[in-house]
Amino acid sequence: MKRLPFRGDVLSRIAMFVLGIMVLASLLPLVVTSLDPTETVGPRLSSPSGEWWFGTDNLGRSILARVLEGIRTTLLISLAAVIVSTILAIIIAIVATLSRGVVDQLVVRAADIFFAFPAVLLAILVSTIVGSGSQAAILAIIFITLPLMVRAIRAASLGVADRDFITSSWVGGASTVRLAVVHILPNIAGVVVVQATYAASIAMLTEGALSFLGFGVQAPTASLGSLVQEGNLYLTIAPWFTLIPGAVLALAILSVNLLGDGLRDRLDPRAARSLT
Amino acid sequence: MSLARFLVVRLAGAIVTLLVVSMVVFAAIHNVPGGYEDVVLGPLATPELRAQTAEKYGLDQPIPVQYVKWLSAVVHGDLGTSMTSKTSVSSELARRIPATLELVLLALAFSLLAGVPLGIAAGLSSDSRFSRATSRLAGSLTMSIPDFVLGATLVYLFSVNSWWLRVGSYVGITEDLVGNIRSMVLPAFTLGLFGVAVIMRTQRDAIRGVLTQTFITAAVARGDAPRTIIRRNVIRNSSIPLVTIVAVLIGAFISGSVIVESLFSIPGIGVFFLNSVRNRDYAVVQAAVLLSATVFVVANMVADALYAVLDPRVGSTSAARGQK
Amino acid sequence: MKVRTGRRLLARTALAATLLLAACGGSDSNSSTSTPGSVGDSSSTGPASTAVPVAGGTLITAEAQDTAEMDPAISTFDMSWRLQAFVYETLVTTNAQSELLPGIAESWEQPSDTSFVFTLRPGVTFSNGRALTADDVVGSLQRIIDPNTGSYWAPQMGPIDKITAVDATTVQVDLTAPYAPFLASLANISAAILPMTELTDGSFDPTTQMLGSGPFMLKEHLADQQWTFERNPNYWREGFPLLDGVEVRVVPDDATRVAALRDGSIDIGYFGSPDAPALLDGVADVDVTVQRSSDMYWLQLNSVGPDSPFADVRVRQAVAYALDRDAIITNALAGNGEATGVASAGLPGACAADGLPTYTRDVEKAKALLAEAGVTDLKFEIIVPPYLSTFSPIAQVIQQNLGDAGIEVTISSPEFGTYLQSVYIDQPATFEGVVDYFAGYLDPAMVMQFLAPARNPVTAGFLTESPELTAAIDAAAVPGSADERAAAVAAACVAAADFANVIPIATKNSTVAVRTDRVNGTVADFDAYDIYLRGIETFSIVKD
Repeated sequence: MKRLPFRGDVLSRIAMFVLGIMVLASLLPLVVTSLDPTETVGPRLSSPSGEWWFGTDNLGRSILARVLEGIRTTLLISLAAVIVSTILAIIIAIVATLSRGVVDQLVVRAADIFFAFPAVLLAILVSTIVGSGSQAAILAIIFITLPLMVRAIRAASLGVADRDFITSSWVGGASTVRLAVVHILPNIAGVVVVQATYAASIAMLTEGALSFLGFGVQAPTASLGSLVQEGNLYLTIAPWFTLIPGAVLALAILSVNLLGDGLRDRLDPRAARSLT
Repeated sequence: MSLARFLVVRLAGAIVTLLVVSMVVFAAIHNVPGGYEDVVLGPLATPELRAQTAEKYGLDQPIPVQYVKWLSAVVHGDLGTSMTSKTSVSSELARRIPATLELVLLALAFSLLAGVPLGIAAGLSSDSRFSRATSRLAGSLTMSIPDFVLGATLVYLFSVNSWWLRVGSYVGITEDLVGNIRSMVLPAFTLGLFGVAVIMRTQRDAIRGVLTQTFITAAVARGDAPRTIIRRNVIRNSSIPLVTIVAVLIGAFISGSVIVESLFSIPGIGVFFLNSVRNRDYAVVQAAVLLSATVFVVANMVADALYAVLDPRVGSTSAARGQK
Repeated sequence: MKVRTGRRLLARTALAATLLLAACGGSDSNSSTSTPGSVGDSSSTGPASTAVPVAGGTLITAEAQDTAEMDPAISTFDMSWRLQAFVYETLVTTNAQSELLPGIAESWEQPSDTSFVFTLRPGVTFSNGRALTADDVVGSLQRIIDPNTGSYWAPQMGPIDKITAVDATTVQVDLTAPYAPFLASLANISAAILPMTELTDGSFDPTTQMLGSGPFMLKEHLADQQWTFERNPNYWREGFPLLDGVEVRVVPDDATRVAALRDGSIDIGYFGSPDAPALLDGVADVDVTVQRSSDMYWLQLNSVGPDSPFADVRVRQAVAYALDRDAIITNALAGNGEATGVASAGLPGACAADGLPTYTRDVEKAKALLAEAGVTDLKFEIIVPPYLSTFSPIAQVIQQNLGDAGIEVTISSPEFGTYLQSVYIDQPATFEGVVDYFAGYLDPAMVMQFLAPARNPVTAGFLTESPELTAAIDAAAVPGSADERAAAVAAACVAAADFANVIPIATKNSTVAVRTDRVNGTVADFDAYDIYLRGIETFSIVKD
């Protein structure tokens, strides 16, 4: 049997385990028909019980089924956004590193400009323009995480590029693409993985905030953020409706953050966490 | 590069940043479907009335022309007129700034008062696996609870129980100080908890970094008392990175204030922005974004300048620091 | 006439001994089903029952939304109507029994079917001290029907021929044809009487200022925060209003409004959520009234857009047959509402929803109609406007309902501007379906006027003109005995249900919560025009 990752790092292991359970559970509604997130199964706003573990919502739907769908939506949106953001960030950072000069300065300035937008304001503007929904959430997350990732990856690839062996390959006439793929990419992989993990936690926060304000995914699709928002109306009479999805979201973000720390300790020990 | 030159370059960069931000927002908000005239006149107005209103506010002109007009007015200190309230945007902003400012400052104070001691303790504490794991868990947890989840939980707890603190009854600081405190503690806590974790981490890492420096080793070798070393060398030197992080936190808090203000019904800039986006009140959206971006950019500039003053090496190596 | 939520109302205390009772004859006098101890019941139980109304003090209320609308003629939101009712008055007014009562007009006569003569109440002045004259009345009404004003209220006032000032205190209105709802249309705040001299000479801008003859004056509006009204010293009714002022705070979140009622920082809270009675359950010293209105939720289908499947009446009927109103009311509205035809169920003389065509759910019939129309795999999008939290649950239950008939519904929640654009501004409209609500207004034949699109630009973008339906609507507005009118209204309900372009679903209720230890005043359990604090001039603050 292959050795478990994160030896000696109990928290990261637990985090990985929790995330694994969440991913598997979120797939359940796809195979278990009784977990239909859109079906009315009982009286509205019933408290958690043996029949409905997480209670029912304002339309009498099972909150368990809604939460599982919510995990899937939130994770998918975050994953899609982070993948796009990571790829873009790698390309931009490496181009900036290799071309230096004006291009590099432009990249830095552009990152500054996007960074100057408060994240939630930026997300709302994006959502207003493209219309509320998952695409808006994905796009907003990309806009928010891209400058953070470009900065971190650029700094790392600059460090790599300054090392002797790159300079000598360059002098030796290696093509730019080859230089990027063979020399720089492997050397910044650790930073990329760590930053992408942190970006995922920012993504989940952003999706949640957008949906909570009503600019994110739209009913009847559930995301963890939209469930918190839906339940908020019934906070005092059906607290479970808001607090359960809220706790699940916090747990998911916590796990991703712990995983990010664990990865950082393994892959990129000197880096500090970049911030929203 | 001299300090003065450094500051001039930063200032120019800041101005360019703000210009581009304003351009992006301007283009964005004017391309959203459903114009101001639709929102304010409602569904039943005649096309003529719509056209008339659009003309009155110059909305019929090309967007670049509108932008230039807006910009030249802004340069002269005129942020325009809120189309919904028909009053000047500056006065509407001025009315809401105190609430947001108080919220952000309280959150910042809370972050520092709780985060710095915790960070120092964590940085100086024995490096056992258990203590590392607990502080990491606590730090990550406070960083991972979304503000709207934390806020909703507090609204729930404090609305079903008659505890002293209030949710949803904002009282201005000038009206009634005690009432103000009762209404602001929970929002500030909600907004600031994330900052506690951030400050704590920064302070801890900074202390760890300082502890490995040669001047500490030298002081230890000299036989200075540990308390003196910690007070004179460790804490002072480790506080430099806090300056930068506070600037970043201010940006994060402005962002978070949108959510916290709506949750706790605080009439500040965040809610104003939200409603103005919904009402297509262009002048307000532009002004609110510009204001937030300015505060953020200025905070960063001040941090840079302070950093340069506190740490003489910066003048020459600022570029190597990256932009943060 | 059921409703009034099942939960027992908290003991009424100070609300009992009020002047409004004396003035309006009590609000439990007729059809409304006040439970013992409810509105107007003078068997008070609380300690404050001995309180005598005393002048002075400021009443603090809270609502969920703010509004930017100040001009009565073009204000379409109930929130705006409520605020304007503090400041403005109408010729005719109404009460919980939907009766027509004298307002600025002390009395009126009807020399013929098409002509109305109003005698103005002596001594009515605007808050600036100027006496209100017949010219103000004529000018205000003319302003509403002037197309340049863009007032949505004009079609509701009927076929007005001319409005004339007979003398300084007499106004005559002539119609080109008999129109039964005319007086009822004058009772909405949209038909408020404005100071026309000041408006014409430019010293008064109705879109940014308020200047009326009502009990209060607008002192200040802080957008998104608060409206402050102060006593109008020139109010015509001697000794009123009792209050020095009213503050209307904007508190968007339901839970925080409940918390504010609990801690006493507001005196009255207004709730649109059907779950509000449950939210307020157990809050001490708070009395809860579920106030019905003529408002109703409805599903609008766009039959005009290019390639719209809803151009075929059978497809529209299929949608209507697939709806399960019981499920919508139970699940989306917490049982707080009742099924309604196009004449709002809450109004006297309205049609019964039971037995209207397409109202009894029949999924097989829906499928058969779709097959007959040759439509397979019908898919369409329902828009959920952003301004009421109940729209989304309703749309989601509709989605489930239609799914049973093989109709696939997607739901989208655009921003306010986008919603307005696609439903009311684009010609033809660009939406497919929208859940919206309209007030039913005071006369059952009123709101159905919007279903005759040929004379209503408002709905022309998405409604198809039907000669039969228009004829039925016109017949419903013909004056006659109560029975004649009820029959004509019922026929219009049938025609509208058959045509199924606008599908009425259920009535919409509000919830009003009052701190009984603070407020003397009666909240009626019905108001056709959503003015939940009608009679505000008689409210007062309890003095210890």
